[in-house]
Amino acid sequence: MRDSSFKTLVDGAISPRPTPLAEIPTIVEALNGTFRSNKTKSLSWRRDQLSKLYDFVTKQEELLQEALWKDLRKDPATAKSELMTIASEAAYALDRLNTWAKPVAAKRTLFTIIDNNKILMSPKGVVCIISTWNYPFLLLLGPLVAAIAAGNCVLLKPSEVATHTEALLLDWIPKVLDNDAIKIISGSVKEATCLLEQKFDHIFFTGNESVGKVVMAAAAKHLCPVTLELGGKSPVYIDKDANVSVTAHRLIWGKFYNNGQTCIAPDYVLAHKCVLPQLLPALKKALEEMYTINTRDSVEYARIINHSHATRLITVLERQRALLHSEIVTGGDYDRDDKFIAPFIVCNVRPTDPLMEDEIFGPLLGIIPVEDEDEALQIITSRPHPLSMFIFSNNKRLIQKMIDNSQSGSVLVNDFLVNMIINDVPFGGVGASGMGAYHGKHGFLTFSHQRTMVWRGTDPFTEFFHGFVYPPFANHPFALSFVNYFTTHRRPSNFKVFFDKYVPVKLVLLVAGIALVFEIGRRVGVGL
Amino acid sequence: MPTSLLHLEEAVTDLRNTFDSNKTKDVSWRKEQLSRLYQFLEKQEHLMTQALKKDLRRSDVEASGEIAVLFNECVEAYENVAEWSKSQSCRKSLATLTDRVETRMEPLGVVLIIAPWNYPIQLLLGPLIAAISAGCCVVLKPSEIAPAAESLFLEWIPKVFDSSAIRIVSGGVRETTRLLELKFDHIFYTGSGQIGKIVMAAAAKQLTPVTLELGGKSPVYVHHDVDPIIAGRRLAWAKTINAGQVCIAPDYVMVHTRLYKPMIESLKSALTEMFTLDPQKSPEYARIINKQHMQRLLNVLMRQLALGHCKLEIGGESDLNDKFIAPTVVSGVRLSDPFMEDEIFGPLLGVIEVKDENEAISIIRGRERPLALYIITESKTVANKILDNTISGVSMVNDYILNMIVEEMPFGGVGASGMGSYHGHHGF
Repeated sequence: MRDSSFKTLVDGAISPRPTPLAEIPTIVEALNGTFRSNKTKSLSWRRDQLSKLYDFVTKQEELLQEALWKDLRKDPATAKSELMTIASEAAYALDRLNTWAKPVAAKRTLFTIIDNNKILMSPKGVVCIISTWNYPFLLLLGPLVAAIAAGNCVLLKPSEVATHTEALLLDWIPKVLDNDAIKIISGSVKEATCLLEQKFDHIFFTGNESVGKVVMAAAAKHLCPVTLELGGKSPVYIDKDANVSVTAHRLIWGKFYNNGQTCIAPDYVLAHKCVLPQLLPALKKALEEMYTINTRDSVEYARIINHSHATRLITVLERQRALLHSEIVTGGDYDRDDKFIAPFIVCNVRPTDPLMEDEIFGPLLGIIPVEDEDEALQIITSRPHPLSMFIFSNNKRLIQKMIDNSQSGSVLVNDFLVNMIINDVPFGGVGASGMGAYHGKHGFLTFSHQRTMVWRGTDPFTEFFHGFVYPPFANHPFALSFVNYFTTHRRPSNFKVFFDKYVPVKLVLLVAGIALVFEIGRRVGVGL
Repeated sequence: MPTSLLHLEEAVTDLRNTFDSNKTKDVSWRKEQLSRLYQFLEKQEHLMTQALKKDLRRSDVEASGEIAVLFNECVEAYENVAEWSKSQSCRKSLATLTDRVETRMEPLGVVLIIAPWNYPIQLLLGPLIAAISAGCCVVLKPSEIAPAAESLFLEWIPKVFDSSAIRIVSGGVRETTRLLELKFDHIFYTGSGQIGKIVMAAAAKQLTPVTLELGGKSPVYVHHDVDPIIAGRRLAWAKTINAGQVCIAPDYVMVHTRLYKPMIESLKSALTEMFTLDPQKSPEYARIINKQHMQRLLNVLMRQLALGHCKLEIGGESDLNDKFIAPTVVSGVRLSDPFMEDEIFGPLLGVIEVKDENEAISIIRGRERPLALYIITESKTVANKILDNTISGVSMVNDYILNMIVEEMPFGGVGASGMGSYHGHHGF
């Protein structure tokens, strides 16, 4: 395991109380012991843990918000939203748990007519959740909800980069949740490396691409399945017909939420050159409305997580600023010690500029003027698949064209971020932005093994039919065709294809049903 | 003749261009390909049966079984692809009342399917059906260890399918290694756990998601409450399919003390009934794929029989040149014996005597998670107890292997037996 690959994530932070390396394998073994006792399979245990998690997040809101303020200077609204999302996931899981955990019955066919065939939703076992620092509660406890709902034992590894939230979690998780089944460890590179050498039944990782590869390579040694929630540069396309004021407000909100440190933050903008003259002033206006001219003193304006990331962003800012073609719309101020960078918006950016290299993850926004949506598509598809993609337009045909000719984890039209609060839709990347997904039922399935179960009878009836496949009779032409008849589909005939396509069966049945009711009513009426 | 390394790269580039043209996203294109596959399966069934006979001396009924499963997958995909590929709308909340929120089903892109040699047709075309129905472009890599099937595919795949989107390549270790260095959007691998780790490690470099259909030792537990005649017959049938070279073949059997002797007797008479006293002459009985695997199996058998505590109940005969090993049952096997080391993947069955289902559970738990678990009992309590205290890819009560013909049931492993699954919608 190359230690240096963790440095980008860890950034030299030392965890205040790292878990001793020797303890890590013991902890995993203890969790395996708990899993074998079947304790976590019980639905009432899962409900109990989810309720406790829900209560913790709602009752200790103040404490949690304080930690978020100390780590990221996260304002009450953003912090509350993070906590409410966790509560919402837990509540949704509590609501749907019975449905999700129920075995799924298989359709009966002629061959399996008296069988009892089901898909059993089984917990995978002992799972590891590794989280990151930008939404330190949400990205650890969100997956935890899914893992508990699926009945697993969990080992949590919060990010040591967000020191206050890490300390809080280390204190409270053992108090709030069942310590036999849910454990939390802390540490930096050494501890994370040791963690990845252990055998888990699933690893859920949120973080950056290079560490994602390290995680998957480590998992490969144990044939451990992974979910990787990574990142990338999520592009915005603003069409000439877009509603400028709405676009500007939403873009400012989406970009500077958590000071741009969101995996699905708009990373760069491709704007139709005709919309630029109105867009740029609208952006400045929206910025002022939301954060005032003095963004530094605005409670709403968060800070960069630490000095290392602040330095990284300042370097990109200065390199971009130095380029002659850069058209600064606003910003350029910063204070490294305060981890403060004023909103920095630059127009006339080129695809080869510093702002277009790595994922920004900060309050720097580059705008590239484009001729039309085709040029935008060409720029977007020449890069790795992003985690999210945003299209601002009212032209349905254009929107559909952009969606049909690109790939991304998610795509939002005319807004940002809101997919996070919709329980039913899967949240995950594709290609370089990740693999697997969660939220709602998708999270439950991520942490479950769908175990096929076929239960056959040993009665004479079943055995008679079974006899058709035993050698030597099985090769008798009669046996062969008999078995084929019972087990094989034939291709749907042209009539069936036509019927399925053109005859709306449900509609016909509905009309026939209504007609029948009327007919009966008429006759009853006449009878009376 | 192996595909040149340059051609491998070109194939992937061509397929990527085809995918970018959006051609495979069109549902009617997918149905067209599935329809062509159906016709191929129907019209050229005899060619496939011949290839299987050459490679594995597969009997007619087993060959037709392999193809029947493909028919079903193909038809199910054809009938349902339009439905499956529709966007799924989701329930709205107050916040999203005026929005349109849906989950789109989009093809991943260019995928690689690597198939093994034991069911060379089904394990190549089965995943292909799923990939086509999802709208992906596909590179097919059949196993070079089943040469007749490989030649068949090399000839027919280009004739049957749209070559701009579906390509077949051939080769050995060198070519497969090169393939794994290229960028795919999904890799579907069926084979051994050892290679599975190599595939996943290679995929990790490109962050490519994988489906690994691996193997392991699939255990059987026979409780004392069953009719030994029926139990013996079904086990004899299941163990000798494809001469035991099935990923979900029953690998070893634990029998309750009270049924131990009757079960062994029943196995012996069932095997004799099915294959006569001279199984080498029986047309029903398949052969081992090649001399290398023959040596491997003979070696395990020899080492096992060298131990004094076990007994050869039936079988043991072999003929290296004919790649024949008789259906062999060895009783008195212990947990540390050679039979209990690696996956057998052959017609050798070890029988272990156990006190009860609890001992069986602890034996199963003491090992890697198997691909299949077979529980033979009339008691719902015993069956549920074993199901609740173990985990396996798939599980069956009172029978073997037939889960493969129930389309809706996902087929895949867990832990060392694999990750991901397919068949029907799950493949899509």
